[in-house]
Order: sequence, then structure tokens, then C-alpha cells
Amino acid sequence: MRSYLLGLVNNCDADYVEIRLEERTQTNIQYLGCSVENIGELMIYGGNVRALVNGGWGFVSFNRIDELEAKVEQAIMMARMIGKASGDNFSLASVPVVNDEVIPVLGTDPRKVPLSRKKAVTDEYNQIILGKHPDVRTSTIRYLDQYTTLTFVNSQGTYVKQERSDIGLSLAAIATRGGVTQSGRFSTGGSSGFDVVLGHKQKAEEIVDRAVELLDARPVVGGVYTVICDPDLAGIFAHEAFGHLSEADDMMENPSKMEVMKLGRRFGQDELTIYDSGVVDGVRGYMKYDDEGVPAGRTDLIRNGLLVGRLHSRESAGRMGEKATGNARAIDYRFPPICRMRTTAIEEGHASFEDMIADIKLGVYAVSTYGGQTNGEMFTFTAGEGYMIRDGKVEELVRDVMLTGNVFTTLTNIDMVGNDFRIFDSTGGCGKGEQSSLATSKGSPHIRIQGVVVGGGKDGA
Amino acid sequence: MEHEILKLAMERCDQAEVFAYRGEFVPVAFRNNRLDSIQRSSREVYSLRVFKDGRSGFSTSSDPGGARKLVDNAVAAAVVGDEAGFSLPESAVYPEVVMYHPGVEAITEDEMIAAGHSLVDAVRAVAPAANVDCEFRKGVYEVSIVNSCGLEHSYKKSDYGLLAAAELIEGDNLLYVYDANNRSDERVDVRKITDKISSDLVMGRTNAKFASGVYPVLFTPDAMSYLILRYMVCLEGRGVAKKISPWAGKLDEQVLSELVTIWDDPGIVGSAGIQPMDDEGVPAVKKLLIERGRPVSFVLDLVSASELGMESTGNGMRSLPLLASPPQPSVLSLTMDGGTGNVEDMVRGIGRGLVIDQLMGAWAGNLYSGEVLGNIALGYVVEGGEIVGRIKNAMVSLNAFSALAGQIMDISNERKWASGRATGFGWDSLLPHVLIDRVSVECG
Repeated sequence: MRSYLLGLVNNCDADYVEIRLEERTQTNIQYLGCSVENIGELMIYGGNVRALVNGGWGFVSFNRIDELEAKVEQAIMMARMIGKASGDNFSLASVPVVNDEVIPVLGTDPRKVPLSRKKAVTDEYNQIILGKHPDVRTSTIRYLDQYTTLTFVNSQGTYVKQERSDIGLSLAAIATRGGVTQSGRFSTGGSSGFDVVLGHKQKAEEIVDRAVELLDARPVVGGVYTVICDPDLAGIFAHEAFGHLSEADDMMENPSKMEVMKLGRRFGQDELTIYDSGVVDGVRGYMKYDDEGVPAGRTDLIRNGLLVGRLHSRESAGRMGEKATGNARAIDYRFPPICRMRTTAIEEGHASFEDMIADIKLGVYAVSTYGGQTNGEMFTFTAGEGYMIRDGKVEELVRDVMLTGNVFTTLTNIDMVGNDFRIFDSTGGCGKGEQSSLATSKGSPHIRIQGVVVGGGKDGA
Repeated sequence: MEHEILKLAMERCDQAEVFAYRGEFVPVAFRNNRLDSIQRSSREVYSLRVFKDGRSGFSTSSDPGGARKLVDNAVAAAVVGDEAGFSLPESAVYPEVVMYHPGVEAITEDEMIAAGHSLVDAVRAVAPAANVDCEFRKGVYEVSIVNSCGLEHSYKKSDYGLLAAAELIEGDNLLYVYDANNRSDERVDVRKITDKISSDLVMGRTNAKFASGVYPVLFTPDAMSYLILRYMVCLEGRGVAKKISPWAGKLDEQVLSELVTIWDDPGIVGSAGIQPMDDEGVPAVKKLLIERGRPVSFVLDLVSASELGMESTGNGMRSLPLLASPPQPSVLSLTMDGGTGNVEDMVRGIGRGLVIDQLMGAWAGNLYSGEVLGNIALGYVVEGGEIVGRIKNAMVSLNAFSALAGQIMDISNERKWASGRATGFGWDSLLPHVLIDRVSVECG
């Protein structure tokens, strides 16, 4: 296979050609209350050819992995059509030629765990959630595991056959009383085998308690607050507030954005360091190579408050005269790789939780997350729940906590970074354009941010 | 292929259904003001649902040579699957709708390239510093369903769309605007999208000061789609059957204002959501969902209908093109009746308040609670009935149930398709602008 594929892309009449083939088995288990909404194994099978001619890209994707020679020709023809019409030329950043086969080291290989066992595990969590409290009338459980074999070759001689394991579990307890519905949630995931989804019965109990407590909680009163984000939410913050802004394909031909994102610009206080890494072992965002066959490493985005790096594909790095960072990723064979995150994290600082809270007169402690969104400059993220902070103490639980901010001011307003770093995974992931959702991980310690806009629900709603 | 899968499945199962999807798409993309790429994607995916010993199993494969493995997987799933409380549908009479427009296939790559150039040029003519991205995409696909109860139906549909976005950066001021339109015919209104993006780039350049408070707010069709999402979730059969939906047991009760009438209408010629049947082979028909503020029909697939002891409403939908889950209930093509308001007059009628066009994060939170919380990604401050500039770093919060119960000030007669591709919901919605009183706004 290796020499056949390399032969197809060798000596083509193009500046660059690559072939990516994908074979994936995926197991899904989904519960809604006591009903199994989805259970079973799928096969995802397909491939693509991407070609570059005079700065124009042609891309052909398919499910039938046959007549590859003709598909290579077709991609080159399309690239030539674009290259001719666009008159724009650039060089891909040069990267080492790689020849490698990667097989992950797994604890318990999810492929060897029978479907009945996977169901029994999720069923046990579901029984706990549905059996613990009369107000919790339903649940949602999502279990996902997938094993992917990606074969990549390019016309520069790189051959990478990479196998990846990916697993995630999300539990939600949904409580309803008197027309009010609230939920408690727990998620986990990883890339090193089945064991990561085991041993969470305690969590299943806790999310029931959380959902029931939230029924009695009042919506947070909207306003501008000092906010402490727990590591889970702070990780989403790093992802939404800065990760997306660092994706270089959105700035490579945009002089005004390059000006805004000039290396060396101050974005935060000295203690703030944000990085993105492909090589955090065991997490969902782990990979040895990205989808252009570029070795994945750690890229610092902000170091000690200053902008020092960004997330590159070979094209964006080439256009900007910087180094490729191994951030070119595609959700599957249907799409070309674009600049994406892997594990995005705020590096551990020195503050204890007590240090952070001590001098807050009125604030919000925002905990866990439903997810977030950004448009580059502004971002939002929604907490699972929050607690009011009064006179340096964590007080009553509040619900409907959504935080919003402007990246240029909010990052500067992070005035304390905690000493309790953690990494989080879930069954969810990141979306960009139509490529959703991609396995990404996030990490952070607690952080404190001054002057955050918190939107709240209305009483009696 | 689908008959081969059905035959193999019926050797081992009591009932079986094969859903096949085959399509070919050509997107032409402009990035950063210039032509970037042409793609050609061929898709071929098969989903199998089986009933064996009273239990249902499901699997999907995009391996065209993987029929046997697909059947093995579905049978293995049936061993641990839920009891099947329903039967697959028999053949039916399907509405005759025109979904395939040869004009879409006839559009050439050169024409898409030319259309992209003129869009980019037109936008840059009003905002020379803007960075414009757009994607024209044409496609044709075929959906085919066969089952062991004798149902065998297929349709071919054309698909043409445009997604356009522009970014304007001045100092640390980022303005990002977008619009989209998807159709089954070739009549995508490129002019309208170009004009919308251009005018937002002009109006959005100036920021205006605004203070936190409670104001009248005009929600454009795109912003309205986040309120409508809450109603659709409440009508969706699984949540109704599980009694999580606050509207379970509330059919025919007055929950919203009499001004609110919402349909599911998969028969509008040219619309993206037109189809003769749902993805389970049940005929797709126009129906009232909310009639003058009263929910009158839930949105049901076969499973939720059987749980409720009702009939499927023809709303069993699969998520194309990966087909990773069995059908789920979903509206097909949503329309809300317009009112009598003229949009410009409605803006004048605001006095002091906002126009909100794009929201961020407003899909999040507990949808059944009706709470809509979102960052105002694109919105305008209205003073003395005139738009004076863009509002930034602000959040809106309202409850979708009370907002369209007692806070409606006016509904426009003009309506616009909010594209499912832009909202990320699975359906397109034809919606009016709605002026809502007493909306809470929090400014940073």
C-alpha cells in the first residue's frame, strides 16, 4: 500500500499532492431516560486527494476508494483551474519528510470490549441517575468510542499510517419540578483506552444532587462581576477566547488581523501563559502527526502575557514565513485540513483558591460548562452552574450563568492564575465552519477575571 | 446495493429497513478575497435498521463493499437494543413535489467562480479593507428507502447554496458579518446576500454607547431562530414522550400570543427543506405546529409516535450525510406567519432600543426553560427611531415563552429564510422580524 500510494503522488504535474485514506469504526450508545436512542457500531470509510497548483487547491473526496489515479488527476485539474484563475502563489512551509507507522498503546482496547459490556457500564450510570431522586425523571447518556486508521502520503515523500483511539462519556441528570427543568452534567474522555469511562458512579450521584439543587437556585442577577472560573470553564475560556483567534488561516492574508495579532503584543498579565499541544498523552486531543503529516508538538500562544505563537497549517506557516506547528486537522475524509486546536490550556500559576476569593466583595464562582462560542473578538461561554461570592465566601447556588467578554480586555483582566491545573475531556468537541465536532481537550487551573459581563435569566420565568 | 442489504438482513431478522444516500457536491470557495479552492465530493452511505426477536438494531456504513459487515453490526446491536414498540411503515401515497431542478446541475464551475468574484468585488467596493470569504456549493443527491413491509421509494433532489462572510478590522475593533441561503433550485439570491453583508459592514463600523436596562428589541429572522428553537424542542416527540417538555400534555392550550402561527411545510417549491417523505418513508406534509399561539401538533417520528400512542407526523429525520444515529424527530422546513408591520416603521417605533441580528452562544443552556441568553454578535443601537451604531460587548436575556406570549409589539410582513447551515439547526426557517418589548440587555 505504501509504495502504491507514494507512486500515485510521485512526479505529478502539480506543486504538491497528498492522499488521505480513512477507515474508522465507531460505537455509539445514547440513552434518553430509560430508552436506548442509539446503540451500535458504524463503519466510516473514505478518502480524499488534495492538490496544489500555482496557489490553487483542488480537493476530491469519496467513499469508493478505487480508481485513485483518476482522482489524483481530477484534483490536479481542479487545482490548476483555480491556480490559473486566482493568480496567487505561495509555498507550503517546509517540514521534515516522515516515514512512520503509529499504533497507540492502550490499556483496555475498546474494540475488544463487547457491546454488551459497554451497554452494561452506561446502563449502570443511567440506573443511578434515574433511581436516586424523584425529581430526576430523565437522563441523557452519551458514550462514544472510535478507532481510526489514517493513511497519509504526499508528493514530498511523507508516509504516515496513524492509528488513533478515541473515547468519551457524557452523563446528564435532568430534574423537573413545577415547570422548571435543570440538569447536572459530567463528562470524561481520552485516547488511551476503555478504562477512562469506568469508575464514575460517584459522579453519577453528584450530578443528580446538582440538578435537584439547581431547581431551587435562582437565576443569577445580570451584571458586571469579578468571576472565578473553575478549571473546566477556564479551559473553555482559553479555547474560545484565545484558541480560535490564534488559528492562522484566518489571519494569513489579512494584514489588519496580523497587525492585531503581532507577535510580542501584550495580551495578559505576566502570570498568563496559554498553549496548545498535540502531545499531551492520553487525552482526546493527542496525536503524533496532524493531517498534513506534520509532527505535533507544543505551541505556546501567550507566554508571560505576550503573544508568542499561533496555530499553523503548512499553508498559513508558509504564507506568514513561520514554522508549521502540526495544527492542520480535518474532522474526517470529507474535508481538507484547516488550522485547529488540539489540547488548549492555561498553564498552572501560583494562586490558591483562598487567595483568589479572599478580597472579592461580590462576585460569581462559575463552575463547569455547557460550551461556548466566539466570533474572533467577542466570546461567550455558559457555566453549568454558579455560586455567588459574598465577602470572600462561596455562598448560594445560582443558575443560568452565561459569561461574555471581549478578548482584548478580558485576557488582560485575568489577575490571578491558580495552582490546581487539570485537563478535561468530553464526548463533545470543537466546531469551525462546517467541520464539527473535532476531538479537542482543554485544561486550566482556577482563574480569576475582573469585570466580566454576566447575563442572567429572569425570576419566575 | 440497498436491495442486497435488505435481502441479507431479512435472512436473519424479522423486519428491516435500508436508507441509502448518494450524492455529489461541488463547492467553490473564496477565502481572503480570492479564489481558494474547488472541491468535488462523492457520498455514498447506507443505514440499516433491523428488528430481531422484538428488539431493534441500527448501523451505518460508508463502505460500498461492506453490506455483510453492515448487517452483522445491525444484528449485533439488536441483541442489546431496545424493544421495538412499532412497525416499519408500509408503502404510501407521496405528495408530488418538484425537488430536482436541472438548472442547478447546469451551473458551471466557471459561473460559480464568476459569481464569487462579483460578490467579493461588490462587498469590497463599499468596504475596501474587508476580508471576504464565500462558498458557492451545488449538488445533487438521491435518497432511497426500502423496507421489508413493501415500502420502496426514492427521490432525487438538487441543492444550491451560498454562505458568505466578511470581516472588517479597524484597530482592535473586529466586525464579522455573514449570511447564507440554501435552495433546491438555482434561485439563490446572491444580490440580497451581497447587499446584506455590505450594509452591515457600513452600519457596523461605528460603535454606539448603550446602557444596561430593559428595552424594546427588534429580532431579525436570524435572531428569531433562537427563540423558535425553544418551541421546536418543546414539540419534539422524544421530550414529550418522556414528559421533559413543558408542553407535554399542553396541545391546544394557549401558551403563546394569538399572533404566533408556525407551520412545518416541506412542500415549498425551491426551498431547501422540500421533500416528499421523511427519512423513515412516512409522507411529508404541510401541517400546523402552533396555531394562533396554541401548540396543535407534536413533531413525531415512528419511535416517539409509538411511545405516545399516536401516528408519526412524518418527521423522522437522520443527520446527513454521516447518518450516525437512527432517525430522530425534527421539523423539516419551518415557517412562521408574518404580521402587518413594515420593518422600517418597526425600527422607528422602537424609540430607544436595539435591533439584534446575530447572536452568539444563544443555542446553549437548558432549552426547555425557554431562557435565551446570548452575546449580541451583531446588533444596532436605536435612538429616536434611528439606527445610530453598533452595540458591542453586550448580552441579551429573555424568555422565549413569555416574550412571544405577552411582549410582542409587532411582527413584520416581510420574511426571510434563516439558513440551517448558518444556524447549525437541521432545518431552514422562513421567519418574520419580531419587535419584542421589555427585553433585558446587559452591557460591559
